[in-house]
Amino acid sequence: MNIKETLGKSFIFFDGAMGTELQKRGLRTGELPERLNLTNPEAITEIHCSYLQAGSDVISTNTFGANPLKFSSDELEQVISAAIDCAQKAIKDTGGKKRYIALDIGPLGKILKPFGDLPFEDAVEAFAKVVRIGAKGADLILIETMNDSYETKAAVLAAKENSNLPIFVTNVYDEKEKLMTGADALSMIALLEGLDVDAIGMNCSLGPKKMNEILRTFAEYSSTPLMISPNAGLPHTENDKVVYDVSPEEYAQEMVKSAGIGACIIGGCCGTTPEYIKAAVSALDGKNPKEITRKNHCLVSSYTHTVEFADTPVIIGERINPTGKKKVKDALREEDYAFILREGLYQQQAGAQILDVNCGLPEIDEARVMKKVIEDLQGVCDAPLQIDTSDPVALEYALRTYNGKPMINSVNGKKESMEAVFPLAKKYGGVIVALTLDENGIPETPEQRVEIANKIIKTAESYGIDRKNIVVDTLTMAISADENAGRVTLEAIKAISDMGIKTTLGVSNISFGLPHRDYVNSAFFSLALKAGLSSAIMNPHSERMINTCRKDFGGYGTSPASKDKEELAQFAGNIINEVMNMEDVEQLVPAHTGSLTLKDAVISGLSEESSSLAKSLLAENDPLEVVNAHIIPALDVVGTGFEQGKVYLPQLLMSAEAAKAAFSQVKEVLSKASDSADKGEKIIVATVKGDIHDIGKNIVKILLENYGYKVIDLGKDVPEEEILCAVQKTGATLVALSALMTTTVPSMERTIKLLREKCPQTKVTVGGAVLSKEYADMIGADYYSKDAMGAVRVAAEHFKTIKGE
Amino acid sequence: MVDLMNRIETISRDFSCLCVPQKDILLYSGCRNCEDPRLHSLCAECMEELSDSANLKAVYAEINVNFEGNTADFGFYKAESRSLKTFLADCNKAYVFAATIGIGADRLINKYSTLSPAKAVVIDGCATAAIECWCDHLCREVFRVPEQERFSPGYGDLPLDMQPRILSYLDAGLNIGLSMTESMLLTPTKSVTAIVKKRTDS
Repeated sequence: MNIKETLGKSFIFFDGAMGTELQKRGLRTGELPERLNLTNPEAITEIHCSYLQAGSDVISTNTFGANPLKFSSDELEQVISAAIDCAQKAIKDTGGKKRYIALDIGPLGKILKPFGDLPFEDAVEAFAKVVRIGAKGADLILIETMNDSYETKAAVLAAKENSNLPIFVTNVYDEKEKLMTGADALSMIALLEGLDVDAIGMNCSLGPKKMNEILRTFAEYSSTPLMISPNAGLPHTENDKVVYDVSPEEYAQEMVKSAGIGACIIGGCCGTTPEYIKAAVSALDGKNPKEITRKNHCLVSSYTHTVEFADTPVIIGERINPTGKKKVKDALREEDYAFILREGLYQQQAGAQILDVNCGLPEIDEARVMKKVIEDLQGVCDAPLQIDTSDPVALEYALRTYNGKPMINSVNGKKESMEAVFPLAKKYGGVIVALTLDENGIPETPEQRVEIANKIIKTAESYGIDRKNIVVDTLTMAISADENAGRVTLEAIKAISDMGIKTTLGVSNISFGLPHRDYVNSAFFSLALKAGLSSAIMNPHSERMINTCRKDFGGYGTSPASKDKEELAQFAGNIINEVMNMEDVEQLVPAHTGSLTLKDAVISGLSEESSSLAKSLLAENDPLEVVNAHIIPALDVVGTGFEQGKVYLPQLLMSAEAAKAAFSQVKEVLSKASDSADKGEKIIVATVKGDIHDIGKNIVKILLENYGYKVIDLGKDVPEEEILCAVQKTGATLVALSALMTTTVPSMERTIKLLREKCPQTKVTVGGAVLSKEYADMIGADYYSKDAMGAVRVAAEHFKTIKGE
Repeated sequence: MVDLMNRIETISRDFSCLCVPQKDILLYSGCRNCEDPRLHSLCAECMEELSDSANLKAVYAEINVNFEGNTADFGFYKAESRSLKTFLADCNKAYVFAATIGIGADRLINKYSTLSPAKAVVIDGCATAAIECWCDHLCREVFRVPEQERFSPGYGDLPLDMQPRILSYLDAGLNIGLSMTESMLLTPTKSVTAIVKKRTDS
């Protein structure tokens, strides 16, 4: 019998701690305890037997730390196979009722990129090796004691892709009810239900009482069977012996409470012994688990938190999208990821709760760029992401890489679209935006749009995707082309929200071709919210739109006041008239900058003032004049001050940021005048492989940019081949390398060697905390700079030499 | 996972228990004697953001040390180091600890590296000052030794390869989420491993 059949119907008891039992027998030496499967299999089998006799239905193999990062592949195979043998022998020896073997998988003991050096796919492969060896002898896979959401996802994917076994997942929460890397219980529920595992819950770190508090969140939001394996409370020493403060009886009483809250799988972690399991089994004898009900929460998540589509409208930032945005287009084309990241962070600061990410440009490799943007965005920004692509390959790359449960934008009623999107959504999880169009285009009546929505929902359900994970976009057409456009959209929203389905809308389409678009958009947005709209894809920098969203939900409360059909139609009809009668109220905000000069503003590090002063200077002066007579002299003052020890690094950088703000005004004017985007001498900057610090590199970057160089930033932990490749691709003649640790200087040396071999004409400058002039000479660098201003001087010297030749 | 055979203790504290001196923040941000009021307010702003995302954790164990020549035998590691021997001054009991302010600090630094290099430098300075302050706190409140009287792998001639051994001995990955990269950088980066003398009267 498959264990899935008993899930939720009767209690399933796991075993308690393995480590505690090994210690009791004096067997844990601090060395890898999995070796005992080979050296002392009798002891392991005996421990399994003691749990089986206590009443455990499932025993976990002694493979917690068995992974390719700790064992050679031969030994790994032996250790895991022996562990399965021990478990099988114990079950055979004990006899009696049907018992199950869980292949136990613990964390790899490494932090994943970008905060550590283990790439996500390497983690998946490491877990996959364990699953491939162990799955054949096991009845289920237990992924446990995971304290990072991303690593949890890697393990689940490995389990799904290499076996058909049921997957149970438990994470470790701390006193603050979060994983070590920040995820709360709700975001783990969203992630794991999205990945469609068979049971979820928690283990280790906490005692049963505290765990039961967190269990309430699980019970409220999860439709998946719940598992709980607490520690036997907190440990302390008594007469040189370790004692836990929760007795087997107290533990059993708490487990009865857990069952009352909704747990149906009970186990134990540190400090629990067969007595604990026995006490829990007998306390719950004759009782049945609480019925597992389907919950209707529509959740998307990041690696820290969730956003729920509920009573308050969700704001989805639309700005990371090249359509109609030249700067985004340029950034994607030139792989200037920093620009994209800033756009994301600014939107979040402006109030966006979810960020749409669209990298669709015909001339780029969308899948690769999409993956990189998702990786980088989730390194700096904790807002959940909406993956916006029509390319199934890019969609899968993004879904795989994403650390959480994303939104997927979008599927539509076409057969082809549903066949491409639903299998991926089923595998990786996500909330899917469903567009109400199909092979026949966008229907003209609300009824027909609702019909398509229903078709999409039904098809999703046939793939095993819950309808709560579908958010319908009833589509907005320009009201200037068809005055009924607004009414149809609004009526469809109302009908769909009446069905209990969440909705979304790209609001700004409504005003296409009209003046005062912001007014039209916010008026229409307000109506849509009253019709029941649950979210909007919009520009969060539009204060009017954000205010509409907030005002409506402050002013009208959470239940829309009136959704009367005729009223809606009337409102919609009035929009155009209202807008046409509006006065031009937008006024230029006068600049309150007094007698401050641009040079002073840059020296004082005032970004906003520098930007507006540059703007007004540019109205009357030549752009080059503004740069050479105002900005550069200011930078020179600060730069020299820094070299003389009168100006400190943060002050230097504040000025650099102010100069950057002024430069961006200059660039606006220049790009209007000509298409001279690709001017400037090129410099490649990178932190070398093995080093994950990049503050120093970023400082060098902004200063070089200030002085007019075109900086190609390859990021941190960059392999030498990648640097070579960038040199060959861009033809840059200067490469600036940074390393912070002595342990990564060899990697700098290898990079220089490779460049010498393949591109002997390229010069290399190095810098970073551990380097000195002597060290730089030793590893063969052309230049050394002790600080960021030094790098600017090096660049000046380098390009002067080149021109001189 | 708490492994009690070695009596390993895990501690976590609220960030508010630390009083990070502003002069340290300025120092680690590259400013020594700075009167600029903008910098002072930037420091305060950064510290507040850091305190929301930091997560103070530490794990430690009391260990016996046996000396043979210049080699100090910790049971889990034999360190041949003259400077460590001098530091321990033949004291046979010591604490070994690992401490971190958590991955939230790295995320914050990463975020501001994108938005504002000036703020990134100051946040980095705050985080460095905070981990130092957290270690001082541990020395003072837990190990009862003078602040900064601690010795880390990489100091003097104590090999850096002691670091992975400390992490695995303390099960730092499971206990406080601390691990290392191939090039031996601690991750989260604002973390410390160190040895502290155990005072005979404590």
